[in-house]
This record gives sequence, C-alpha cells and structure tokens, in this order.
Amino acid sequence: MEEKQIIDLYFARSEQAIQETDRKYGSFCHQIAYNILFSHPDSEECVNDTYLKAWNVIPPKRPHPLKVFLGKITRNLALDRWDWNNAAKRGGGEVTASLEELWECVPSPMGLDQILERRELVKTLNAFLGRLPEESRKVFLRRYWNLSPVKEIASFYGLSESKVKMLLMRTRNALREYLEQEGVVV
Amino acid sequence: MKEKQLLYAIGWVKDAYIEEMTQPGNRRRAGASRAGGCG
Repeated sequence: MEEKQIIDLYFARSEQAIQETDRKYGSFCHQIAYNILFSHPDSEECVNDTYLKAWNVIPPKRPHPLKVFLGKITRNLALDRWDWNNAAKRGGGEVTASLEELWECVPSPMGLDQILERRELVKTLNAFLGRLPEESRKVFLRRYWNLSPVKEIASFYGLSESKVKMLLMRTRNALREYLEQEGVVV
Repeated sequence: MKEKQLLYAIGWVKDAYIEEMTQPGNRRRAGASRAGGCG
C-alpha cells in the first residue's frame, strides 16, 4: 500500500492504518530501535508506542515522508528508553559507541549547552551535511541517525568496512572543525 | 553530556537527508573490478 493510502486510513480512523504501517515500515522502525536498545522486546514496545503516537497526531498532521516521520519518533522513544535503561545499568546497543565517537566532535566541554539551542544546532548540522559529498553524508547518518554498526553500513552501501571507518573519521573531524568555525566553542 | 546533545540533534536533521540515507548504494560502481579494488 502506498504512503498516501495509509495516511488516508489514519484520517478515516481505520485501525487498518496501524496494520498497514506495520507491514510497510515495521522492520525499518524495529531496526532503529534495536540498534539503540539491543533488545527485541524493548524495540517492539518502542515500535508500538510509535504507532500509538502516529495514531494520535494523524490527523490533523499529514506527515510526508511517513517513513522518516515514524523513524524519528522511534529513534526518540528508543533513545529515551536507552537513557532509562542506562540509568538502571541495562544499557547496550550502538549508542555508547556512537557517543564515544561523537565526543570527538564536541569542541568544548561547555560549548553546545551555552552557545546553541537545539534548533540552532540542528540548523548548523543541516548546513554541514549539505556541504558533504552524498556518500559521506549517508554513511554519517547511517551511523549517527540510524545507529547502525559499521559492518551493517558497509554491507548496506556496498563499501568496505575500512572505507566506512575512514569516511566516518573524516566526517567527524570535518564536523568538529565546522562547529568550531561556526562558533560552537567557548 | 554534550555528545548526547549532538546525538539527539542529529535526530532532527532534514527529512531529505534521512530519506537519502535509507536508499542502499550501488554494490559496484561502474568501472570497478574485483581485482582492481582501490582500498
């Protein structure tokens, strides 16, 4: 079923909307949650919560693309749950590794908090991403948006793992420089 | 933890970039050969 038809089902308040959403985007959402949580039951709950959230906002919202809209919800729910799990010392997945890698991009211990609000930071990130070659941008987001392991990224894009690691390292260095250049430094 | 802020902020980048990310790459680019991997 096409995205528009699925959205129409939400607007008609048909519960088939959830079934069709799950059929078309369930594995995409589950993979995002699983990359973060490393737990199928927790991921399943996140995906179900994603559907509930979608059900509650559509209508009036008519998201496009629906896939990205759902993925963003899942990612946020999973990160929130990861926070909770981590506080209870049950954390896992790719988040810890990603955080360690991103630490290299933060130019100053006080920078992001004090200088930029999240919205401004997102704007800066969008500008940075827009300057990147497509391949670097896709690999970077596959790692830090999708939280995919390097091996999966390499397989997905048909690249070697060493190339993925190299692209990630170069992009992190470039991001650090860009954030410094944009004044994200105390 | 500032890197966590960065991780969350990455979640809100343009939809077009995320959509682009979900498209698999070409397994082999034109002209690439098995023996001639460029590393």
